[in-house]
Amino acid sequence: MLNTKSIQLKIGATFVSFLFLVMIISLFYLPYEVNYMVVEDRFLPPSLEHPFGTDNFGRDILSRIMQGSQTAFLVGFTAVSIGGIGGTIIGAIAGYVGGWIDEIFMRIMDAMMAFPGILLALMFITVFGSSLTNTTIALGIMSIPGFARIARSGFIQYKQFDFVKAANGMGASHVSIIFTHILPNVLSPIIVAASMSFAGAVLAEAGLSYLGLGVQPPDPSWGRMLNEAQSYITKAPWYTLAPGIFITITVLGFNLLGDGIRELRDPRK
Amino acid sequence: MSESVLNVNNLEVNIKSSKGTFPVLENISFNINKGEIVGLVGESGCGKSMTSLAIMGLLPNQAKWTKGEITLSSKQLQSLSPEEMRKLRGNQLAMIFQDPMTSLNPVLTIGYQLIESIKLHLQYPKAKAKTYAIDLLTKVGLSRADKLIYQYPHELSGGMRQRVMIAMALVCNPTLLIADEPTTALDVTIQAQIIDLLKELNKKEGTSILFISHDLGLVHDLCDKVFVMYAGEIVEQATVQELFDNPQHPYTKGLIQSLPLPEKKKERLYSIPGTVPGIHDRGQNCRFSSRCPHVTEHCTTHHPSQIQISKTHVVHCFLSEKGGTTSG
Amino acid sequence: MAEPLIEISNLKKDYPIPSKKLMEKKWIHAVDDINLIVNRGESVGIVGESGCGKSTTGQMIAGLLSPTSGSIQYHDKNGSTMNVMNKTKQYHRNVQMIFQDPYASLNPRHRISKILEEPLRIHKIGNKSNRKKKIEDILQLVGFTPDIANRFPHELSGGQRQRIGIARALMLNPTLVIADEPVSALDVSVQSQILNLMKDLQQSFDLTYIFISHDLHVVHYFCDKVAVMYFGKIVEMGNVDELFYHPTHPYTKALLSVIPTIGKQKERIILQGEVPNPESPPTGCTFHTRCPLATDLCRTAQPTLQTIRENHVSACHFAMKGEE
Repeated sequence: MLNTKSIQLKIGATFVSFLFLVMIISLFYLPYEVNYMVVEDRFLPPSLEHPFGTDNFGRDILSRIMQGSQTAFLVGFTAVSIGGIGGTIIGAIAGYVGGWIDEIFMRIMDAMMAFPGILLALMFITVFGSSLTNTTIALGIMSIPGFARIARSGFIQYKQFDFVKAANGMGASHVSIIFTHILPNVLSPIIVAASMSFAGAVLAEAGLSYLGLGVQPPDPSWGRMLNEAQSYITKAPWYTLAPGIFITITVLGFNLLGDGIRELRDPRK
Repeated sequence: MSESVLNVNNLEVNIKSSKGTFPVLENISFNINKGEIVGLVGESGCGKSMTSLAIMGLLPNQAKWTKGEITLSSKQLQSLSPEEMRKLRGNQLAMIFQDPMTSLNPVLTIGYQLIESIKLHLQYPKAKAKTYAIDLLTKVGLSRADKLIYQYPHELSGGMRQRVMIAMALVCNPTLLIADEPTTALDVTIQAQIIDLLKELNKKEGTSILFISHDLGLVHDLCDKVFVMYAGEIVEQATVQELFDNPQHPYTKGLIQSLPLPEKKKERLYSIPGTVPGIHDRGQNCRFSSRCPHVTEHCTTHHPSQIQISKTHVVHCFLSEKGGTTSG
Repeated sequence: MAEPLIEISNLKKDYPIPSKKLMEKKWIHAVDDINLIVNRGESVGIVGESGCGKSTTGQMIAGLLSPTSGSIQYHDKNGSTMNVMNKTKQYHRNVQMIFQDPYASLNPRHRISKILEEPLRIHKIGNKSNRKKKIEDILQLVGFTPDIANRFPHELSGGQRQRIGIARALMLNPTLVIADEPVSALDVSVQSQILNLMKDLQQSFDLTYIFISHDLHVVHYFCDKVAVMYFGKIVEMGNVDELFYHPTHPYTKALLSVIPTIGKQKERIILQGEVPNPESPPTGCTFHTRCPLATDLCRTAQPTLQTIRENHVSACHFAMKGEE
């Protein structure tokens, strides 16, 4: 019988591997130089020569999208790594140790969560200057509280399980309990959150770049492309369509992948 | 002859799984008379809860009623619309569950939940409904009922919550109360209180009770009649006296023998070998044949039909066919 | 002569509870001054209703919880004494636990082989091949064929899992096994199987059991000695037959009278009300709020355990009365 969840996984994996492929190809081959402007070729509709058309400077949109995928992956991967690893460590300590350490850690996380994410990123950028690296770090830090909460609640939940008590009763060390008993069980929701947060990071980078705070012109980024395209939405609708579709595929792909992984990692299946 | 409250005739329920459709209940036939307390015993997965859900019309989506009739006070349940069934559930049929915490809405007060149910079923005005609610709570042995109606479920103990559930079940004075393991989550002293309450209700109001349990001792203490279920079928039915004095089916015997009673302290306990066949591998044989100490070739190929031991004692076993087995 | 294995004296466990007043700390006494001696080779039952402190006591003996005060001493065969407070690996090797819920007590992500190997790994016993041998031996002892080692817990039934839980407890050849409601989650026919197994293993491994249960039938069947707990205290304790056939504490009497049995009808004593709120414990005898015999004495003075007969103590002001 067909399993709906495995369909999710398949679609998600297909989307993500497609994007990954695009990113890999872009490292070695681009149809055109991304910043090569041809004034007379402005706003060309999709054609064989320019499958996604050209933009207001006559640059090839496909090449810019491909180049942009590198940015997207870099930002997504780095931000999620910072958030995921940092959040898991903080959440694990808070949940496993408990008591006032838990209180302190989680109140700090609450304070960070109370801050609108974009605002935090803006602040970071204002202090350290606007660059892709700073944006990425800011996005990573922003996502720490989310991961910390998931990890903490998982640790609290599994800490009380009899199999953890049993390990305790055998004289197992804390390290062994954390790494062999609790973490593998808590990892599922963290991985799911990571894959969804990847999508979130790509979207946030697009958002910040849209505001002009991420990738600096003339370097291409999906968010900045969308920003520029909106001025010409009636004149060149394909210009908005291309980055829009890619952002959608990314977000959808990673979300579906996350759901699928959750299903896959369930040992009961 | 006393009046029949519930009659189940040849009930069959199928369940759909990824491997196909399989019967979870087969040939379920029994009768409950007015004022009787009937026990339905069996181990986990034998289908006892599914039986109660079928009667309530609350079968899960994957399960389907494929055969048989259920008659409640001369009403055919399978011919009722979902709307009529819902009305029936509040009025003539009521059910209490194992875990009273999950059966009550945690964010509403006891009084609100009880009064809403009274207003819905009996169309009482608010003031009258409130008095009636307090009456019901007092009836199930809760003191200070006038204060209690302003409390939330989590403020009560497990025993009190189960009493509240019983009060809710009694709103319309049902003819049949189905109690699905109502005391399993409770302590023995509280269990004794609830059992006493059920007995009292049965005596005073004449409510018939279908008591579902895995605890033979409890069934022995409370019930008049017992049905023993195994792997989706009723294998033996008898009065409590008959069943415990003269069990016929090897499964019933095995269950009774495996109880850790003080008299057996020096002996090894009897334990039924093997495991219950899963719903995927139940064929046209005696379901118990794979674990039965008295199994014959015949048992593995044929399905036993019903043998009448006495007017009130029925067993499904080839051994009893020859009419020779009386030993316990 | 009985040789003491575990000696528990004045054991207490308090838990803090949130108070309405700021900075004020309130405590509830989950386990309140327990004294118990478990002899080598015995099965000692601890019975009582939920919240009476029986599980807390068990977990303290297993070294999973630290007592607030009091001591638990373990007497080794060679005469040396270990204190549970030190939580040495040596102590954990000798004292193992079996849990109630066979679904929660095995890590769902580990295969049976890994679950059983863990105790050996923690205590650095043996190499790969003799660990494997040991696992196969133990699996056979609890009634499995070795091929089960590659399965996951969710592929097993409740009774099978409980057997794995028992096998895990035996991996280190412990002296004492604390079984916390080991059969409560199981069906009757499986229950008898586990009880038989535990009795067999007691013979072959020379085990001492502390058997925690709410089921008086099971405890009567299984144990040699029993302690009845109510509201954090032991209210009656003694030889199992003596205590079950001649109970003196009204709580024990009530408990025994309401357990459902098959056969003889008996007079049932139905206790009114419920266990009091631990945040505001009653004065005097903690049982007086539900006791059918309570007098003014009970409301003011707390009874202590007094000897009724050899191997039988009871904490009731009127325990001796029926005996005269």
